[in-house]
Amino acid sequence: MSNVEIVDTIRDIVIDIFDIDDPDSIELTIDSKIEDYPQWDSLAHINIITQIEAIYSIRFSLEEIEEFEYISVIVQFIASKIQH
Amino acid sequence: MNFSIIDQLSFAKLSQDFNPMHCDVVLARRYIFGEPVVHGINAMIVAIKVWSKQHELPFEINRLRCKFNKPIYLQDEISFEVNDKNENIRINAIQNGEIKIIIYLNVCEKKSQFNPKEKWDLFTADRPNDIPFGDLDGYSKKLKCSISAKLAVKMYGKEFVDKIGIGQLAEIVSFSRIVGMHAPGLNSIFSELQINSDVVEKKDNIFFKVQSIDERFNIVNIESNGPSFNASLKTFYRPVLVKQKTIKQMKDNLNKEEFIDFRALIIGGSRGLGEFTAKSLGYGGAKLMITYAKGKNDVTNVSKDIKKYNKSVSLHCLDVMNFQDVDYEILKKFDPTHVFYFATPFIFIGVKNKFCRIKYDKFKRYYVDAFQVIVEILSKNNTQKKHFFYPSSVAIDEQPNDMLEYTLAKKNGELLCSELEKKYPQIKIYKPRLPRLETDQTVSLSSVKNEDPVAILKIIRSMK
Repeated sequence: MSNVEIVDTIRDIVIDIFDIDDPDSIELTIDSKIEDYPQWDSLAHINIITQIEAIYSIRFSLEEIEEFEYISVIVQFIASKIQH
Repeated sequence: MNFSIIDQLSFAKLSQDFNPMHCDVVLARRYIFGEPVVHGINAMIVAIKVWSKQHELPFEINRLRCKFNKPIYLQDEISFEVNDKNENIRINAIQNGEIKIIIYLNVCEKKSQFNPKEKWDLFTADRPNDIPFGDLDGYSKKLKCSISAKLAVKMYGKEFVDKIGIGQLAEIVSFSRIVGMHAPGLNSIFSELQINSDVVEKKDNIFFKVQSIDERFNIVNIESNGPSFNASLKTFYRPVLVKQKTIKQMKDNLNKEEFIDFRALIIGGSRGLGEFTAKSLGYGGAKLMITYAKGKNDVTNVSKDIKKYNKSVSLHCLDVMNFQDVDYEILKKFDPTHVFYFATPFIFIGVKNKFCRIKYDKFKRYYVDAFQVIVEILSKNNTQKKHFFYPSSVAIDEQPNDMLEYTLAKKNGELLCSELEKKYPQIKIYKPRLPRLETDQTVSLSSVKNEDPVAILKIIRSMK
């Protein structure tokens, strides 16, 4: 699975968690920073992580989750876990 | 509209969800939301009722997804935004531009429904289950699905009860009972409900089972099936109450008689840092007056612990928000040498990158206006040297983007302290910017590290 596909999946999850009606209204790329999204609060963070885990059948450690500042970091972790 | 404490108690009776987070004003102030919050399911039903006013026919729910994004407090003015342009209806419960609850609803024409028992199968426990998190995995139970139709009509009106049907309503309120009273029970937060009507087996009870728990985030996932619905309930195990240590447990960090010259007034000493300070000063021999606003039982327990070592403790009810009702003569008569100001509302109510004037005003009343009144009352026409402790916050340096109102009020409080020191040269105000210390104000669902309140002892010792 390519990084682009992973970013698209994260984007779909974020649209669902943020309850965004118009998908075109949200810009999310591999360079995006979590801090830039006002709706990305602690509850949204937990929901996004657990949805990612459910979709890819993976599990992050708390230490890994603490590093989630950029989408690129999340993508890296997902890619490394699904390769194994 | 807003929800009153009467609404809370009515829904508690209807659903048999008597969780103190919804019904007990004194206990709820120590839980994660700081005040009683509306039963999410009650708010959801009210939202569906708002939508149903536009439709005359009775209906059945095919699918429903409800996200309880933010707590609704009793005083919150809630409006509902309905979008039913297609078959999937969306309803938002909004307060001050912030979406608290989102409901996705898909309904069909009403068919036959199960008829719930009119009488309650009385809940025998008078408190919700208090099950340790680790024991919840696999927990299951079968409940009778019953409801008081009379109370339902009183709460929601006959027209709506007839439209939704008493059977569906009975099952929907049961979800609140499952979460608030059974699993997770006492320490619960309802996060999301998903229901669908693909039920194969007809019955008059509802069976639920905890399918999984996630110890990283304290998530408890529950599945249920009942007369009309299969449901998934996503919940959190709410952080348990933070109890401050007893003096016996604190003694290694304290010295007897080190505060014997203090005549200390502690504003807000029933819990948290106020409780910690009262115990430290009490063990150190200070003469104490401790005030409380709501937590009479809590402060009585604090006093009992102190009195094992120091009999000079008096308690006084004082709500700094009601200036006109406060008997300041008692405070003046006590004439403290040291005043510790811990009066505070619930802190963590901000929204990321969004400033709310109402929230700011509330913080300001506590951290600026009321503190000023206390200082003025005790310092005017009184030349005795006095030391005031004003707990400021590192939030002023760190500026977290979801605590704008709190941060600004504390910053203004600091400026006020400087002005008061100029006005009353006999007083000194200590205003340390404290980090997050372990109290019931700072508990969180996420893994936030809090420091031991013992950190403030150094500052108290410097106030001599």
